[in-house]
Order: sequence, then structure tokens, then C-alpha cells
Amino acid sequence: MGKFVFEHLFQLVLVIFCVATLTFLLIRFSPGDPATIMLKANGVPASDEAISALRGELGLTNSIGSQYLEWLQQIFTGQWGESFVSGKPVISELFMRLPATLELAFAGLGVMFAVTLVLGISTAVYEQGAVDKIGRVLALLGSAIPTFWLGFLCIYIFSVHLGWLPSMGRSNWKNLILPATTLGLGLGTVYARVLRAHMLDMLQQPFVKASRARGISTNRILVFQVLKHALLPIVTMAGTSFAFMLGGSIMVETIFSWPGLGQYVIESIKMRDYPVIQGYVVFAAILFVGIHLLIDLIYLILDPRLRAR
Amino acid sequence: MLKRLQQVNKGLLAGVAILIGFFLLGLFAPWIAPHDPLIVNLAARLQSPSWTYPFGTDQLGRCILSRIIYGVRISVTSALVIMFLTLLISIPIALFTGYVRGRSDHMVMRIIDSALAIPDIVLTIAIVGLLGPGLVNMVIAIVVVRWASYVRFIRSLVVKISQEEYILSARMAGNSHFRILKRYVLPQIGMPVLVFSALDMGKIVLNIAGLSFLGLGSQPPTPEWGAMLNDATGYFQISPYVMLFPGLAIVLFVLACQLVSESLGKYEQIAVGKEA
Repeated sequence: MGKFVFEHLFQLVLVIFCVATLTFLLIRFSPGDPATIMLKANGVPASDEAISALRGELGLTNSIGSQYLEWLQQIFTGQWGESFVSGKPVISELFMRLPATLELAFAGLGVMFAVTLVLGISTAVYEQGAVDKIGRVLALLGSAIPTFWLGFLCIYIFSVHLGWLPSMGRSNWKNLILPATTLGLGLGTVYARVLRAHMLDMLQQPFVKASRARGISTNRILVFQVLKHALLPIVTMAGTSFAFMLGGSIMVETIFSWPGLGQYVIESIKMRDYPVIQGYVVFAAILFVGIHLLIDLIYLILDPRLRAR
Repeated sequence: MLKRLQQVNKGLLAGVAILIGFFLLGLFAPWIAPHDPLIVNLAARLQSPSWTYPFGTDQLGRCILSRIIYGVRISVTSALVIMFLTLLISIPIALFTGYVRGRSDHMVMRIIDSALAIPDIVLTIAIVGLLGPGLVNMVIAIVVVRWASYVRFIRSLVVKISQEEYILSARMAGNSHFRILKRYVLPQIGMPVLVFSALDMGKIVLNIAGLSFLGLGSQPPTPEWGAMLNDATGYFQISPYVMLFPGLAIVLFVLACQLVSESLGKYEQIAVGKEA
């Protein structure tokens, strides 16, 4: 158990280290001097004196090595600087927008599981039938249709044409429906195929033969006995899909003006708000490694076989 | 078996035909496109499809069909460049780490695990954000993010091949390590890498379109599918065609890549099955 947690913490440190190094290198190699950019972002005319003063203040006159060490130290101690635009600490800006993104990601995950279950079970029950064929086509489309285009289609059909649902903002639960659907639908159709394949595989198991010998219908066996086993790999994928939801939320938040992390980082990129962009990657890295740690811990609790190791 | 081969052929043929169609469209864009993709005609803005403008016009009166046809050039060229650069970086690393193993392999794998711990879109966006939006920076960002998964995949192939007995006998026959890699390992990974790349081609095109949609890739007025959708943001409520057709173009291209990859994958399985 201790070794397990230690390994994950080591991974976390390594990820943060890699991300910090990468962002440091990118800032160094990107055209334009950080001091000039910072002045421009603040609307101050970039005179030579102002630039050199700020360069000294930011430590840009030190050697690359000491700058790098200082940078690492700041990253690991949580001093991620202030936003050029708002002047507030990056960390608090990010935490302020985290709930909206998490809400969207969980709702997307919910839509994904609903689609996976409904489509997966129905395609497995009606194997080789019309539903199955539709499921196959949907899965193909689901992985080919870009999220942002699906978002447009949803807005056009349900907001503009039918006027049923709002297309932007985050004021009540109705606002969540379209973004969550856009986020979860595609992956849901793909996982439905996985669930179907697992369910059909399970039909070869001895316990299915035993149930059938007792006269239980195939569909009953599929839904009440096979499903439980076939769900395990799907649950295993929950971690990966949650990361996918958080990544995909960048697009979805932009389309639906959802006030979360993704929309914030895109805005920051347009404003050249470097501390926010850097902070965002490190924040995201910690978030993802943290989620993986959490999921592995849950497995450890659920599956006694893992604990024995 | 024969029936399955035919099925495979059908999917592969359809996919390849669509992709070749796209390539030809891009190649002969100036002759095929009915209008100049950049010419602004405010008198004819946001028109529905007609004989003059088969896919309608956008908010500046530019012909959407012509812009989609020219957009093939941007998407396909940048996707191919990305693919080439990624393979150029990842194949040597994968060959080395997978063949030599040991400590360097362990280290590289640790770095790759870290890179893959973050969803690629997050990292790509951050890199473009720090470098500044633009087509070249987007290509760099996608390559920087993509190489890790390629190395992981190719390395696993190399590790498996390196344990084969013919590698050992080649070594005993006095071949140098470099020659073994070149003659006996490299040709073996060709087909799986092709299947992997074909599927990834679709993902890369999606990636390019996504970044351009966010305004981080190709900049206006360049005709690019994702950028066209970005332009469409404010106008698709009035005229849905500005978003309908560029989106369909992306979907069709990605579907074709998937078909090719899926069919090639089946082919490979059948070929391997025959050998066994």
C-alpha cells in the first residue's frame, strides 16, 4: 500500500517536473521577450528603461540555469504568479473556475455511461439486427464527428430551430443538457461497441451455459448476469474517459460559453496571459495524475486480489 | 474467409477512394474550385446553396465549396508534415529503446508515461498558447505531443521482434546491431505502423481542425475547415450552411481514414493468421 502511494507520488512529481521544464523551454524559445509581452499586455508603452527595469524585476538578467532552478522552485511551492490581465494570483483564478468544469465533466460522464448502457445492451440483445447495425454506424460517426461540430449541430437543432434549450451560459440545469450531451455522446457510442463485444464474449462462459440449462432465456441472461461481468472493463475505462471529458471540455466550453477552465485558458491565450497558460498546464497535470491515483485507490479497495500483491 | 476478405476489400476500397478523391481535390484545387476562395463579395453574403454557389456563401460572400476544396491543401499537407516529423522522431527513439532496453529505455518510458498522463488536447493547447497561435506553431505543438504515443506503440513492436530467434541467429551470424535493426527489425514494423498512422491521420486532421476552430491554428483568411467553423460561430444561426459543409468535410475525411485503418488492421490479422 505504501509502495503504491509512493509510486504514484513519484509519478506526480515527475509529471510536474516534465511539464515545468517543457513550459520553461517553450517560454525561452518562443519569439518575444517576456518583459516586453508583459508590458504590452498591461498596455504600458514598452520603452527601453521600462523593459530593462522589468527584466531585472522578473529575474531575466540572471543566468538560464538559476532562472530554471527558481522556476522549478516556484512551481513546486505553488507560487504560480499573477495573471497579467486581472492581477490576481493564477492559482485562485484557476480554482474559481474548477467547479464549472468538473460539473460539465461529470455530466458528460453521465451522458456517456447512459449512452453506453442503452446502446451497448440493446445492440448485444439484438445482435446482427437492425439496432446492431445502427449502433455500428453510430460508433463510427461518434469517433469521426468533431466535438465542436456536434456542438454546433446541437445548438442549431435544439436552440435555434426548436427553441427548447438555451445555448450558452450556466444559470440552471437546462444549460447543462446540450454541453453534456455534446461532450459524452461520441465516446458513449464508441464504448457501447466495447460493452457489446464484452457481453457477447461472456456468452461463451460456463455459467451462461448453466443458466441456459436451467431454462433462462438468452436475453434475461444477457441483461441480468452477463452485464455485471461485462461492465468491469467499462468501469476500468472511467478514469481515462474522465480525463477525456476534461480535455474535451475545452472545446465544449468555448462553444457554449461555459465559464470553466477551458474557456478561461483559451481567453488567456488570446490575451497572451502567460502565467495563466503555464499555471493551467501544471494544474491540469496535477488534476489528471490525482484522478488516476484516486481511481487506482478505489480499485485497491474494491478488488482484494490487488491488495494481496 | 473469402467473404471476409471481400468485406475488407470493400471498406478499404471505399476509404482509399475517398482519400484519393480528397488528394485530387487538393492537388487540382485551382481548376476544380468554381470561385477564388479569398474573393470577398458582400453583395452575395450568407447565401443558401445555388447553381453559382453549390454550398452557399459565408459571411463575407466567399464561396464555401471553393474554400473547402482549398482547405484540403492545408489540412492534408499539415497532417502529412506532422505525421512525417512524428515518425522521424519516434522511430529512431523506439528502435533504440526497444532494442537496447536497460536503463535508458526505463527513463524514456517514464518520460512517456508522464507525457501521456495529460490528455493530448490540453498539452497541445498549452504549447500553442505559449508559442503563439499560428499554423507552424500548431504543427510543432502536435508533434511535441504526438511522439510519445508513437514511441510507446513502435517500441512495443520492437521489443517483441527483438525477442524472436531469427534476431539471435542474425546476431550469431555476425551482423552488427545497426544492420540487424535496419534489415530485420525496421521492415517488420512497417505494416503495423502504417495501420496505426492511418488511424492517427484522422485524429491529426481532427486535431488540426479543432485547434484552428479555437483560433490557434491557421489564421484568417486562410481557408481551413476548422477555421471556417470558427468563422461560422456568429452566423450559423442565420445560415446553417456555413457550418454544415466544412463539418461534413472533416467527418468524411476522418471516416475514410478510419475505414482504411480498420480494413488494413483486419488484413494484417488475416495475414498473420495464415502464417501461424
